[in-house]
Amino acid sequence: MVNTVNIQTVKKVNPRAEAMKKAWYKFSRNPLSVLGLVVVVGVIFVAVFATVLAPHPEDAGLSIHMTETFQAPGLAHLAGTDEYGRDVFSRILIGLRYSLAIGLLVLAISVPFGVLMGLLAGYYKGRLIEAIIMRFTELFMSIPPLILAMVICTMFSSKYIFAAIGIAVAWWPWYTRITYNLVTSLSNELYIVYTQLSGVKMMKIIIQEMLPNIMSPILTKMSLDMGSIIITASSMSFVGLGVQPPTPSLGEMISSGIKYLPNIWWLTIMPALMVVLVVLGFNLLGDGLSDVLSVEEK
Amino acid sequence: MSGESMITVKDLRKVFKTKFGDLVAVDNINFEIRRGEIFGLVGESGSGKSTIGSMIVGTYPPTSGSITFQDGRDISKSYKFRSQELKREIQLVFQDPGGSLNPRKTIRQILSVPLQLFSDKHLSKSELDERLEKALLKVDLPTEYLDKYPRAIGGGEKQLVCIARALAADPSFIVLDEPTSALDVSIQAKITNKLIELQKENGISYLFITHNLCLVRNMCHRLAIMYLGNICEFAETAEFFERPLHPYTQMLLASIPVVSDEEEKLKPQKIHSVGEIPSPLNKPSGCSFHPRCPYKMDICAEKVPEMREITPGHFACCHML
Repeated sequence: MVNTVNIQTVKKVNPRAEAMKKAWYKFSRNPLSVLGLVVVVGVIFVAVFATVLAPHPEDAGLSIHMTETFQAPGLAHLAGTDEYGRDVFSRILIGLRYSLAIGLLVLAISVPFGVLMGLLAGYYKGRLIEAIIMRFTELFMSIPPLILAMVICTMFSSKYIFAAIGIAVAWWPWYTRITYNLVTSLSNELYIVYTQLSGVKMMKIIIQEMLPNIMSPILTKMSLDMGSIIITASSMSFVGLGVQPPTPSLGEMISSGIKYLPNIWWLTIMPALMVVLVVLGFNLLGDGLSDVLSVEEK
Repeated sequence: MSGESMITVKDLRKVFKTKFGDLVAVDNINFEIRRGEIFGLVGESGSGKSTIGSMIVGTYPPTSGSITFQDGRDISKSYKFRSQELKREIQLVFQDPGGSLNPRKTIRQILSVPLQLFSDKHLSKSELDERLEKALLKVDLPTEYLDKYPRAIGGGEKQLVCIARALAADPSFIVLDEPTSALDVSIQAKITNKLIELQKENGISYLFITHNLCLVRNMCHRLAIMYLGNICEFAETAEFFERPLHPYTQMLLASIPVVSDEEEKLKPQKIHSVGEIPSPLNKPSGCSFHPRCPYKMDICAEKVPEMREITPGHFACCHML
């Protein structure tokens, strides 16, 4: 029981900090989530300092070492060398940088736009604007993202930035859909009904009451999507859209190495392993986040 | 208790359109709630009692009939068309305290909403803090609860926060939609006592919607029993428990679970419950209670009985009376 005499002396705690502390405790109890976090932080660190960490940073470009072609992984070249004698390990680290950057870029474009569209559709429920937004969303969702991204990329330019824009155009409808569904289901929650009955403005209800409840599924989806976007970007590099040779990207490395399979396996397997690691890391982190951010925690 | 009227409901009717046809949720509802009164609305689930509450707070407008507030202001319209002043005066407490508090907001943020919304001037930080503390103290919760999230407090405490939120608007009328039925029995008594105490202190009126007759006896001044969208009996609480008139009411009273034989003897008459409440989509003809009524006569299936004043202030609608 609370001792009423002591109330005045109780130290004022910041509820947000307290909640964060609890969330971290819960997160840290799940080894898989922590592994995900470690992998993601590690991968980002490596990507940022790729040129410093890579043993042969010059191999990201057009350098050719004719004496060292097709060397198997070993101490001199951790992931072997390719047909020009370039260090595959260095190229993976630098390629990672491009893959991660494209992932972040896609999210930076598609999430704000998608969420905004979802909020608008939810706000104008039953009106024309809702119908327009949702039909457009369905239209874009009906086309496979890879195809849509490729079409947009080829229409404008095969440059890196247009690959990101292309994927973002294919990606936003999912965020619109989620946001719209969340807004719709939240509208039936009693605490939202209360604010409506009390005459709180709809815009205020959406921003102050709904958005905090929407953020956690969105954040979780973002971290889960990071992996899918990297794979999509890799697939696009595979057909020559996005990052162009000789600049390495994980997808481009896999695609150009494939013709040497199965004997020179490291040209494909090594960058593929990096893709797996990144995707796994973001997925584990996403799972962990969704556990922590769910409200049912005690 | 003065005789001044707080809410007057006349010929209220609400029809919901469903894909199975029109659902008459409530029909032919007439009652008046006086200033400073706790008015009980009792019925099984599906009897339409919450529909009446929802129309009073303006969740949706009635199909026909009228609801008048105090001095004759017509409030038979949805919240979208109500003045801010009216929204302040009529407040609501839901059945599910867990669902009525935003899980991502602290109690401070939750209570700030009505305080700022219904304040006639902009509140400074210190004024707001002062009012927040006052609001919590009103329902006997320690002020340190302000910085807790709803998940960190118990179900009864959540309901107290909901009550504090309703009171923070400084209302003259509160609709309590089964405020205790989601709570443990031990907490129910605490909440109802608090509600009675607050009603006396603030002189406000309640519409107390419940399916629990035992609660009504301690709480309400007058009450109405509902069955399938109609009021079937209407009386002062004491008179009602003394002389229940309608067969349905007698059945309800007989079905209250008791602990001892002495208590069993206190029950008015033995009528055993037969069957269950039918679907409002498929109402029986005549008196809607007749398929379950032990005193059924031929006329019951043909003619809808009218509400008549049997003794002063005690109304019932049954062909037998």
